[in-house]
Amino acid sequence: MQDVTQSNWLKRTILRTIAITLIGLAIVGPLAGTLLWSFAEKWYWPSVLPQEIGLKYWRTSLSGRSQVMDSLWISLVIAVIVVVIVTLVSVPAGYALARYNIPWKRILLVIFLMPQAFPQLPVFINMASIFYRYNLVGTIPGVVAVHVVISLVYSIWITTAAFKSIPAVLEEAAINLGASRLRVFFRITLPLAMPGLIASSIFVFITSLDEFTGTFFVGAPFIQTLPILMYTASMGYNMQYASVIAILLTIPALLFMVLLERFLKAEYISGLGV
Amino acid sequence: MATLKIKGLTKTYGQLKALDDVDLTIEEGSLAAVLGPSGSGKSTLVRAIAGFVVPDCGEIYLGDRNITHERPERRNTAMVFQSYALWPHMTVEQNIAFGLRLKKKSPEEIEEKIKWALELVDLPGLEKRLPTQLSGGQQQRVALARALVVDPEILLLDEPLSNLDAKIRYRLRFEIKKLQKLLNITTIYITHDQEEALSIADSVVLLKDGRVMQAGSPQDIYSRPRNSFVAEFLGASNVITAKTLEDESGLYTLLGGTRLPVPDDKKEGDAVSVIFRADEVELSTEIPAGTEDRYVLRGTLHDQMYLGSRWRYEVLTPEGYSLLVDYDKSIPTHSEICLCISRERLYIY
Repeated sequence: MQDVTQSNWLKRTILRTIAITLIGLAIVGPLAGTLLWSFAEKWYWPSVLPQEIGLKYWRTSLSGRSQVMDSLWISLVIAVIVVVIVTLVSVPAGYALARYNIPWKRILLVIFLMPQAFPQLPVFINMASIFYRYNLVGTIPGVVAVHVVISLVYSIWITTAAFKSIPAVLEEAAINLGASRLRVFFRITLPLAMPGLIASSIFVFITSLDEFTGTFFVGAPFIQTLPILMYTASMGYNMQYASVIAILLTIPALLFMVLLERFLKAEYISGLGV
Repeated sequence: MATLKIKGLTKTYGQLKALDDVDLTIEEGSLAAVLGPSGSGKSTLVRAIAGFVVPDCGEIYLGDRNITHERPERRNTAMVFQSYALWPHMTVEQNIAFGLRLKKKSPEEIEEKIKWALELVDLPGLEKRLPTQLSGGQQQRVALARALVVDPEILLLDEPLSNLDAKIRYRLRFEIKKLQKLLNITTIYITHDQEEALSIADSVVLLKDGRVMQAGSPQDIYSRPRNSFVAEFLGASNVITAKTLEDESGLYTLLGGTRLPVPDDKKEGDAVSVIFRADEVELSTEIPAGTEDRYVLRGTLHDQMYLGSRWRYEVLTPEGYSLLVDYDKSIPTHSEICLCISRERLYIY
């Protein structure tokens, strides 16, 4: 009897170990490969591990005015501008959608979803041709505009949910004591919605930092953001630079994901049903 | 502090009449309980006074000021919400100071007022706590302090105790009453609990479907309910439906073989409700004589429930009525008994 349970336990443990290892490999594998490549100074096929390992590519990438650093700055500047613009639009929009009975509310939200619903390439090619008319192609404002369009939908949905999760009675209590609408918004509503707004901003920041397709059609080759540079590098079989950039791009995303998990409360997610 | 006058207040939501021509006067410094079942419009009434509901027609006067179209932030009402509505990102102190800061009081005065308010609601020393660190009863006290500290002309309490457990509810009920008398502040107290309304109020307003069913002193409304709804809502649980009869001496109805007068507006054949309370019946095992002002019903004890200080019996009468009767002695089930009800305890509609 005991033998049977013991062998069952053994079987289960082995199966679990295999499953976890496979899942782990699927997640960590590609990342580990990238990490290896970024340190490989010589790595010829069919060797399993690099022949020479060193910091050469990291050093050149991170030194003063390298192309990687330039791209990093452009990416960061674009991301920050995008976050500011998107927040300025989605906070009032999200508040209005959460609090007021706007006619066509659902349709409005679906319209914001539109650019995501169609295949990305035709949308971006169309954008590029429109932007061409207004001399926006190959400019930072052009790239910012593309990123804003892409992230606005997430941002509006998350901010709407954040405002919705705040009971209206908290605002009424403040009005009742004599506060103007503006004061109620800045003293009560905004502070309470802040975790959701921060989560939304983080989301937008990462989306902008990682965005490739739209930037490629509207910005390249003049605006070299990090993802564009990574693409160029890997196309030129410069796997080391591409790997360094990939890791640079992963760091803020990882950091923010940890923060995001803290800020994005279950209430907001449940508030998403409009 | 001011007298509140409401004239012809009406509010419709689609087909639903939340308030239907409500007239109401609440005297300066008095506490009025607005009582009614859920959906009777009592919350709409208090929200209309606070300015969160715009009435279709009618007028609201606070003192001699017509506030019907005043913005809610200018009305100088203070409301305590059922959910307390304390701001979770502010400490107790900040919550209470909010209204004072809006009135541009000096920091010294604010500090003094916070201290005064917290002592008033018996919560000294909790200034730095966050609302989530307080119990429900404490949160309700903070909400009360936040409302009282701004010297409102009228205090609106929207089911302030309904989220608390019974023990705390009883205590806070009397504390609210004491504070109200101490500050002499005109107060409207919304509740669905008839006992709470009767015990706390100077006057009670009973609402149903947005209409005032009866308004008056607690004693008046309890002992002279104007219609069957009021009687039943105030705990008269025994309702007997009978038919109006007529003979040469006039209209009457029969209850347990005894003749009872009916209201003048009845016609022969109309249904009549005879209503009385379980604790206003005398129960005896012998058959007493029916007199002019005392009616007797026979019945069998069917079931019983022990209430602590007394028993509550379910009595079945030969006519098929099932009645509830309170008695302070234990009687075996299936006993034949008699119910005596004095005339003035029978409400006939």
